[in-house]
Amino acid sequence: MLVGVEPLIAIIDDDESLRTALTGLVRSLGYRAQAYPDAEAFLAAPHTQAIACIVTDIHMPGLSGIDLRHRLAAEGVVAPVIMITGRSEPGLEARVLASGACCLLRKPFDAGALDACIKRAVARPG
Amino acid sequence: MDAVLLGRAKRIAAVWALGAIGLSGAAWACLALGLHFAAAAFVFLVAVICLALLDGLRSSLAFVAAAALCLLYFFIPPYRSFAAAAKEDMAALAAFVLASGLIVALVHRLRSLTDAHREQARMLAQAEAAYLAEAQRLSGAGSFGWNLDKNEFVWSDECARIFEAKQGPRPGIDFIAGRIHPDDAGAFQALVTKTRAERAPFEFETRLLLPGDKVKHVHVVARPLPDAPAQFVGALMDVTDRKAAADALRRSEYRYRNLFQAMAASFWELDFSGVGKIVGKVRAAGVKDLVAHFAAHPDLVREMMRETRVLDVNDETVSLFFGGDRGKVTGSVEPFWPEASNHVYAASVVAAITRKPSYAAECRLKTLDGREIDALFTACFAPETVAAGKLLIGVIDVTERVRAQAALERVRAEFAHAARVSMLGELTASIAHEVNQPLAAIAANAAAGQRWLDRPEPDLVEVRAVIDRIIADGARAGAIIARVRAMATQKPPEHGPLEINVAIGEALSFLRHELQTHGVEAVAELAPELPRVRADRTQIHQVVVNLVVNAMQAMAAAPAPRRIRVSSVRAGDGVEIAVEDSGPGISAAHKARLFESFFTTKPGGMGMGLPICRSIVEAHGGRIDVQDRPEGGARFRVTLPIAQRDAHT
Repeated sequence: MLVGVEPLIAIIDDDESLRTALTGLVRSLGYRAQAYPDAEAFLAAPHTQAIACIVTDIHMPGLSGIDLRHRLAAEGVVAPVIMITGRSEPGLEARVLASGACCLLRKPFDAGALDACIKRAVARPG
Repeated sequence: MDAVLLGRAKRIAAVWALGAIGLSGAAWACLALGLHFAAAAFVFLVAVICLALLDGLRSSLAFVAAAALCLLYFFIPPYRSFAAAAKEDMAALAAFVLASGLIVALVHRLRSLTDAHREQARMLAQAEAAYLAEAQRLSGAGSFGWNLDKNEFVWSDECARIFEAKQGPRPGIDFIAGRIHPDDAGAFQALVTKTRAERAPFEFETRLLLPGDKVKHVHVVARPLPDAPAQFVGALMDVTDRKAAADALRRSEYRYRNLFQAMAASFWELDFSGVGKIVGKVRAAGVKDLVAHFAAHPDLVREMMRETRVLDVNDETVSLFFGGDRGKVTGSVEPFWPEASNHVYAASVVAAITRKPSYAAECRLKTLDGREIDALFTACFAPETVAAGKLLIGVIDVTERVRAQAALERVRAEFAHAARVSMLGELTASIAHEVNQPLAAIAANAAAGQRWLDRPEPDLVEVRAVIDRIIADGARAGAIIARVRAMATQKPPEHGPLEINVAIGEALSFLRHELQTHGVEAVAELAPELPRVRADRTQIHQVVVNLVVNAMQAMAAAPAPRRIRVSSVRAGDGVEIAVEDSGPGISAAHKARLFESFFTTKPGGMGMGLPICRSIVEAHGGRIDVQDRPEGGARFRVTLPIAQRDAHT
């Protein structure tokens, strides 16, 4: 971690209010945050700064969170991915972990759990 | 002609023979008695006058001449000779000829006058008889005379014709008795006996049984002559046709009474002549618009009701309005009209005076015991009864029908409610997700707020922003819960002005998660600034959700991309909502039955979704139908009428 510069967290959620809330929460935890309404917007954005961690909703119109993880893996992006879901369908957790995500949180989630996940993610060597 | 001449010749021969005998006899008698000229002349004068009574003037003058010759031969000297006599004898003879000629001429004159009179009288009598007979034939009335003492009965030809008798003018009382119908024979005999005893005028009607079993009705009047109490004169009239007409009238009247009484509808016969007077006054005061005038003057309408008197009602009316007590049938119709139905009464009066043939309306009426009923009120203004100030009113009690309709409406609402609840059940996961979003946001915001506060220097600006977001998310969650509650509660539909685009958006928010789960994309293309429709929000939610879920399910097996287009657009007097899918479409065989209850093509489907949609849309005064999209898939179209206040925007 570079001294004086907080890690940048990307937040992807199609629900505007939850996206705003997540962004605020991440900033209150001491990180910088960049929000995107969907996976496509994230992929299209120029990443001039290194993204320390990605927090994404799983179910979104277009690419899902899991699709995004696979796409990033294919592109060689190694930033850890934290996934959030509102569903409880069977086999979802296995698929999430298989995709290489580091955390799965269920809505409504505990802020402490998100904090712990992000901490773990940014501490991990790139 | 010859016979007439011959007859006349015979008659002349007989007269002349008689004249010869008479004159010879006179001459012989005078000679035998030794009468002189003056006496003999007198005898001859008498004989000539007598002969003049027998035949014409010429014969008489011939007899005068013959008598003069006899006098000259036998009684004027020289006797037994026509020789000329003394001058004074010739003068006497001339005087005889002159006198007897004059007398004979006078006699003939007199006779011819008498004959003319007699002829005239005879012709007059004949004419009168003919006239009387004709009058009797025309009137069907005959005359008769009945002498009680002699038991003699005479009648006119018309009587004989009525009795179909060939007996002539004296049929005999037994013949008449024989023609009386056996059922009336007793009464007839009683009348005969009574008249013989009391000799009082009588009038009676009886039936005749004529040959060939023909029955006639006759009406008889008779009274004794003032100066001969045993001599009755009377008239007898054939009233069979009149009787038949009267019977037909009675039967028609009877049928009408039967209908009036026995129909399962309430009938009233009313006297509204008093109403005519009131309307007359109102018009005389210059009122043109009676409808508006009556609407503005309810007291006047009540007064007209009080002036509408009940003449007669049928049994159904007695049981429906009078509590079964016919004794209460009296007075005016006012007690039966609730204030709320004043306008119907007023409209019926206007219809009557503007000469409409009838008037009908559904309204509330009141029974005598204060119960209100739903009634179909009909008034019939037949010109002949209206002219007499009378009115026939029919009332059909439709309370049961109205109640059944209300019950049907309730059942329909309950059914729609049940369908909504069932739909909510199916959408539970989606709804939970929809509520979970703002809940998750609230939790994240609250945690952030806590951390902003926990900093060594609490960042109150961030805290304020966080709290604002919490409030917004709370409101969002609350709105979702409110919609779910509206769907779940059963309440009567409230048809108010509704922004259709907002309602469509709300309906879709129920389904966002559901659509995602099924991999279906929903696109809303809503026309801006649409006029509001008159609708119940929850029911419109139900219709849109139903159509979208249907579309989603129809596309379950279709290849991606699966897309639903929900659109709204102004269409004439309404707003059109369309839900289109890219599924397989609907087969022609299914299309016709699509809106029927329990018709379904889905395994486990109830087949109630579309019928409920239709019943909701139709209850809104709208239409629903389905079409094929040219590019494939189905297009459900709902048209709803625009709310009155927005109709001109």
